[in-house]
Amino acid sequence: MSKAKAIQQGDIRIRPRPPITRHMQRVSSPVVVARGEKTGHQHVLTAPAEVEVYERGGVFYAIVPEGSEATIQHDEHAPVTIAPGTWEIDKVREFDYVARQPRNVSD
Amino acid sequence: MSVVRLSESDRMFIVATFLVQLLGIVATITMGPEFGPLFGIALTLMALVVGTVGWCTRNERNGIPARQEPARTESVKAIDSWEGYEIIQITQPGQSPHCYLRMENPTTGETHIEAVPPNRQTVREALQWRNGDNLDTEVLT
Repeated sequence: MSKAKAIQQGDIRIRPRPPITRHMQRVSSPVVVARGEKTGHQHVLTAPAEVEVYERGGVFYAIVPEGSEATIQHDEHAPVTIAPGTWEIDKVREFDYVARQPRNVSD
Repeated sequence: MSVVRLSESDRMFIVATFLVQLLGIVATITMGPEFGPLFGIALTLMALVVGTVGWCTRNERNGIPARQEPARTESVKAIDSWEGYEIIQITQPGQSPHCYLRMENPTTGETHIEAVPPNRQTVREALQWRNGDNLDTEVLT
């Protein structure tokens, strides 16, 4: 079985994750999964009712059942389609050469 | 009690600044009320410029970049590229190389740069690191 791959839309990453929803808050679609601190542009997740979306500490999780799909749209990027599976959605990271450690990207 | 030790160039700089200021005062006294003050002001401004340049130079010698501009950069080179992504390695004097992922938004064409660890020297490695868990990236928009 091939290793699942990630998706990047600008400064967010969408990664396959095990379906764990404990301590998470269910949210309804459409939902803003990331917002540019400087530009104000939003990454908006849109999904049909059968797709479960959760949030914990600013990180979003989408459980997409077989036969369904979700979409993330952004003003400056092409939309991405999320296939069936469980996905984690949050910011990509960059390296901080002063602190010598990773940090979340802000745009 | 801490003692500040001045280098030879620091001492020369202080003496030069003092002499220029002194010349300004002497000129003000000796050249009369018409030209003396103007000459004095000109010399004082010169001392200010000398002081600023000297300060910048000293900071640069101490490892504090006085100006952040490419002119101070020893080398900038692209070490890998793939599908509109590039790894740029920047080496500055006295520092270990820094690597940056340069990317072009495929939708808008805008260029964006993010720092990646220095050991990520290919676009694939940098994108995997950016993902956080070394996964390959299937879709990039």
